[in-house]
Amino acid sequence: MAGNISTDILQRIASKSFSLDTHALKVEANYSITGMSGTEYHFDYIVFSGGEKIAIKISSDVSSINDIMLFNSHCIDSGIDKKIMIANRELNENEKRMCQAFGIIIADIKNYENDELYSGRAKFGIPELDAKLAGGLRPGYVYLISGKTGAGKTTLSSMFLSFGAKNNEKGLMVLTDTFPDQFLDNIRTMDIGFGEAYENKMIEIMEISDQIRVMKSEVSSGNTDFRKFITKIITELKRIIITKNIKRVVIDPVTLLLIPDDDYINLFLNSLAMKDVTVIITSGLRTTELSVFGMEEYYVTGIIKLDYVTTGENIDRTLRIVKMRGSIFDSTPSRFKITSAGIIMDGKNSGISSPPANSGSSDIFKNIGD
Amino acid sequence: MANILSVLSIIFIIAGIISSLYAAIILKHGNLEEYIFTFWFWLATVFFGIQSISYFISFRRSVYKYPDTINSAYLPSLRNRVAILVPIFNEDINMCIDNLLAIHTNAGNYADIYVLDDSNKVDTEPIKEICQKLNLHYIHRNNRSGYKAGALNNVLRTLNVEYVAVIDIDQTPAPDFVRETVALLDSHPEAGFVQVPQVYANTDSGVLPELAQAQQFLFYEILTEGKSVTGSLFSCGTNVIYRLNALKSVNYFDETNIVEDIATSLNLIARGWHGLYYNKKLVFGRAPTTMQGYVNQQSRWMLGSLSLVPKVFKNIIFSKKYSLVERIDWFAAATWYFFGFFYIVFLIAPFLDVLGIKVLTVNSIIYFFAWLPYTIIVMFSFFYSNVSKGAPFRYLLYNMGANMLMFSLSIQSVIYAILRKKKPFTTARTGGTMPWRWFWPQFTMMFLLGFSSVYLIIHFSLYNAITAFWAVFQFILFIPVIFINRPVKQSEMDMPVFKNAN
Repeated sequence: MAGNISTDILQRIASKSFSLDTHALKVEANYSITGMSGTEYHFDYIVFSGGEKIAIKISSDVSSINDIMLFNSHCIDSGIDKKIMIANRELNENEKRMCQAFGIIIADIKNYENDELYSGRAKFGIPELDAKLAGGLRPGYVYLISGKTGAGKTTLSSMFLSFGAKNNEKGLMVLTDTFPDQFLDNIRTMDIGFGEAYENKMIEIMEISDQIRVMKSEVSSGNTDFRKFITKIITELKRIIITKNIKRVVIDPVTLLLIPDDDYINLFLNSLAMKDVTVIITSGLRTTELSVFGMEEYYVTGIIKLDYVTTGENIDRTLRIVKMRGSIFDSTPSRFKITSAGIIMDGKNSGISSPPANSGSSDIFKNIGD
Repeated sequence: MANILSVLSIIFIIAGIISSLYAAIILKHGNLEEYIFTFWFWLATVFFGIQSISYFISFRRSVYKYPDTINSAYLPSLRNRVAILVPIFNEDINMCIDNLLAIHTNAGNYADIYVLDDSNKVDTEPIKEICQKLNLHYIHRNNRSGYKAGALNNVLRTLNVEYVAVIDIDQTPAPDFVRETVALLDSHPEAGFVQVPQVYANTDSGVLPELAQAQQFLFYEILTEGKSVTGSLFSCGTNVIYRLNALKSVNYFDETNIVEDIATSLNLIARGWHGLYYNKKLVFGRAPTTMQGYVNQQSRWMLGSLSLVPKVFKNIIFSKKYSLVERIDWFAAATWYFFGFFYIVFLIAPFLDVLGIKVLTVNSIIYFFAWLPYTIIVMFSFFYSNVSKGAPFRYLLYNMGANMLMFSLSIQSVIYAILRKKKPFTTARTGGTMPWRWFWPQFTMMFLLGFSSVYLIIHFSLYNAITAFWAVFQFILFIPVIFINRPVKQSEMDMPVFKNAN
């Protein structure tokens, strides 16, 4: 049963049950705790809120008073007093009364799955990041991942596409400054499922033709109205999106499609938005701390900023959500590593307590990568 | 500068008309033919004089007044306020699918799209399918009653929105077309419709599309801006957004005329609505790429406009409700396609000279004080007005060349219109090259002009030299005929900008 419910739903259930801040919650699945008696118990989920734990039990398909009693005693032995039973079905009267008697909160999964604000969000498949985003990115908008070269923009956006592909959402990667072959060679060195998704045609890779450079120089020299250029690019891109039924789009980096003019960038980025499709653009940094032209950041719905500092041989990487319109989000920076399994986020940061040592974040990642 | 040139031009146009009338009546002519041709020449001077006066009034207004009429409006919310109607009639299926996708992606976020398919000769299934997939309303009629207007009205009567845009299937709106035009309608409650220019995006593919764009430039950069100020703007059938209440007030589109756009505009004007021209490139179309397509388009426009002449005279020109400028504007617009009848006298004048028939004999006082300054000032003003609006120099030549190309079609269309002869409806997006014999009037004229100029130079005199100059000039304007009737290359607008990795 465990593993079937998404992190953001569990966070919201925990947050609603005990009035906690959603993005300050960390979820661990199939978590083991050794009780005061010395017995080791397996919990479906443990949600960490600061130093406190919340135990979550998924109700079994058939009525089981025993399961509820066991769950309660496991919690007592483990020193957990915040208990939630997630009901997949209508519980019978005895079960309800027993939960009430033991102080177990009953949460109906349907109430959370149908929650329009949170359902259907486009996740990265990186639990910590999705949690920070209150479940993921809202489809229908354009988001910016910005960071200097080597910050991990391409890796993060590639993971966004491959996680979508795993969940049956087709992705489109538009490469504007690399050759697709080189990009594929590089991304295949990471175990994020990108190559497989590409071979299974769940991800399309496209590059831009010289045509774009020609048209861009015409616009820059004032010979062509920029709307013609935008109309051409947007129409063609969206035609691909519609005909191939694509749900996630990454333009990496967007800079080569832009002209440094506020009206242009505003219209271009607004026009990229499309119902039910999540668009991520990436940008290096030149003019400001967020973009090349210093304008891109104003016309996107959300921004994830990646950064790093090198100290000796170490690279200290951080991720921070700078802006996310229409959604709550956690703006505290998180540290992360780029490993052979892609981006692995560190739970350690202000506002989010780290899970106990026996549960390394690489394990979490392994689940996702499976 | 624009002011001085426009006023000077108008003064000298009038001087030119009066002096040539004086020359025609008072100055001695030898025989009846000379009187006839001179009078014809004078009529042509009057015709192009009125056209030019309307043009220069428009230019002056477009420079000094037009910018003030378009205020910067706040961008509005668009939810459930706009419907877009896309009429289709026996079009190329692939083009339809491509452009429906484009219209959907660029305008579908803000508006309900209605595809009005009157096709009866092509398989409509693929269009139906794409409409289903994109969630567009598909309406197919089996009869074509009321033609395009009938198809539009059929849906309009059922709609309950504020604004309705009409976009032809060969036009691609920019992503902000709906937003920008609605903002303008919101802030101009007195406007019945907002028209945006037709821009040909494929001008890089050859001489013909560029020539067609040069004609559009003249119309959309100068004439319509002026008309928008005067209140004599008419909608052009596509790239236009109407206030539904305005259309309701005239019982929707005029189904009695094949140019439903202009006819409906006349009805709207009669009900006190006026049109607003928004000169922003918000829709991109394709110029005809084949000579056949171009001829079809021109022929349709000519027949359509000519069929409206009686209505324009009755409603506007003979009505006291409208100002002189409005009447001049409408007169010029309605009668423009008669131009072939007047152009021809200019074209044959040098040859008549060779035959000894002197057309418009003027004395040197008239020539140097009226006729010569008239010609120079009007030509220069025309040049200045275009260039100051950003036209490349070749557009001027193209515009004059287009008239040379179409003078014979204009004559044919006037005859067809008078005889009420109908031509089958054809679109500008079909056909290939025209058979060279179609250009016999052009080649005949080129021969006559070439021969006359050589003859007149050999028989040198000041008068002959001047005539020879004009003969050579007109000969040059015919030269595009040789280049225009050939296949064009693919436009960059039709080349993909994204390509698959493998």
